[in-house]
Amino acid sequence: MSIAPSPELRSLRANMLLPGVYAWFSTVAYPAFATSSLLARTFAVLSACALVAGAWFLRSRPVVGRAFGVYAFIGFALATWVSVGSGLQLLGASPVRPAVGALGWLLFAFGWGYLRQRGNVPEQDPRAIPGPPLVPRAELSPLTSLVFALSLLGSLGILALAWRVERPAQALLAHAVAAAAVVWLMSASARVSTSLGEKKTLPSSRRRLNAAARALSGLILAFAVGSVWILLR
Amino acid sequence: MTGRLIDVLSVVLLLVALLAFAGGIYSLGIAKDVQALYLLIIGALALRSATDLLRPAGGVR
Repeated sequence: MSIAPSPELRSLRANMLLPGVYAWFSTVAYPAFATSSLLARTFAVLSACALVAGAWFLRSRPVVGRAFGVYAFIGFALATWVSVGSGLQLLGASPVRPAVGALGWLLFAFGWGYLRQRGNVPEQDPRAIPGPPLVPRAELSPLTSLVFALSLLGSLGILALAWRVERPAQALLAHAVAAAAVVWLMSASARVSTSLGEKKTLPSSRRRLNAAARALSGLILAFAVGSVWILLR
Repeated sequence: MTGRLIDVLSVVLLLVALLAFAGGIYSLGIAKDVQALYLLIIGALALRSATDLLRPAGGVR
């Protein structure tokens, strides 16, 4: 017995599918089908299939839906761009097409996000457990905003620097690396900046240092290798 | 006191990571690919160190 999707589910699917299809047509399908690379076309089709599968599994299996609709869709899109090779220059033939493509990917990101509905009060949800208001366990340090603002400005700078890379293949790599680095940086800066006022919940200093020993050793080793490299040049 | 020093260390590592990532992307732009790779590795290690200082293995998460 098949059950027709509710209007709410249809709306949710449309919010995720339409921007994705728009981004796919403008930046993935166009270079893939404008060139004769069979591999690129295959990846482009797989990318579209992943997007549709993501929207299909959205409600019944959210984790699978997200894996298809976000990770597989973007992964196959990246594989398409790599397969297209020099054909990717078609995207940069006019300034309008990259701008339209960027807008499409922005809308795609918004489509997969979740926002609280207007007028919806979480405490009025029938599943909410009533009780006294929860008091914050710690106050944020005055440095929190400063550290987070510095990270935000630096992240914007990293994204801007990626646009200075002119070589086509390296430019794509620079944008991918910059986007990944910025996501990681913002996530880490949120943790670091909020932890500045969080003394009670953090373990002892020795345990914190021990936990970071491996990464810190790698960093020191990398600095040592870099110093030797500079000396030998 | 030591805890405050580690907080400062994690912030410094975060800023080192930020500068290293920026330097890596800049180096890609001036066609210094090996230098770019080196700086990106430094950035990744510094950022990992900064977050590991807040997330001890087997401790509070």
